[in-house]
Amino acid sequence: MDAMDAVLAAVGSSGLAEVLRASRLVYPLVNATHILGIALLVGSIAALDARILGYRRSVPLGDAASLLLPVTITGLVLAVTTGALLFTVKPQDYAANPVFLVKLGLITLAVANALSLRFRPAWRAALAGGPVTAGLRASAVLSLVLWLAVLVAGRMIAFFG
Amino acid sequence: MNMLPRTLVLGAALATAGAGAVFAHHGWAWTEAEDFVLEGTIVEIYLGNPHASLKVSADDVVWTVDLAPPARTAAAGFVDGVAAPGDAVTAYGHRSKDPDETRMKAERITVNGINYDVYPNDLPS
Repeated sequence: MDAMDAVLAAVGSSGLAEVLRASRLVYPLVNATHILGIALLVGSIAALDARILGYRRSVPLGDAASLLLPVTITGLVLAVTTGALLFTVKPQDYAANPVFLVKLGLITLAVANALSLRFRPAWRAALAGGPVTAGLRASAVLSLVLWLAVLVAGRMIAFFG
Repeated sequence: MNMLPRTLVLGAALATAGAGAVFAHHGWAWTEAEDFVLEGTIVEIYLGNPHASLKVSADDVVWTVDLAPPARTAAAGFVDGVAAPGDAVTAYGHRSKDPDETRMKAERITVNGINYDVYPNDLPS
């Protein structure tokens, strides 16, 4: 734990952290970009999950995925990058905040669930126009639940913990 | 397919609800309605994002006194240099509803005879 404490202290005393703490403009803009990332991520993944679950079957799943997944990945990159920046302002506080830790755990599960699709032959087959299996629908439900839980946990950080 | 997501939602909800309020600073919902006054000595001053705050020692207990976001705190006149650790401070506001949590949110702090009204609209007349 001492090594962890040292890392957190170093992050908190970095020049970047000091700029973010003191800035009137940069911090709110980073905050807004974090929200933009979440909007792109959750909005696009919700649309894709809905398609997997049977909404708008007239849109081929492969087309839906090719449109939506780049938006999802862009959103995830934005959210993670700006989230790391926001973290630097009070690293010890966040690291000790149980809601924040729950959020990180939920993000890990949600990303693992999404990545697991890449290794499933059923997903490749469905993208190529094949049937959507029960396993894929389960992943879509799990995805919706996890990403919404991440969003709620994120908002709760400021109110609980 | 059905049980796993439900279990996760429940787990997340319980973890969130059971976490207590050591970090609470948004809004006033976590504070008592009654006015609260804390007199003590400043231990530490934080003027950064997302909220300015003080650590205040009162009767050998260290309190966290939440102020406003940096711009609002500065607009109230509470800027770098007007106070220092060791200064006496009186904080007027509302304390946490959790009796074990030594945390309050201030509407006004008084240091060296000067009032800094960070939430002037909420001050009792």
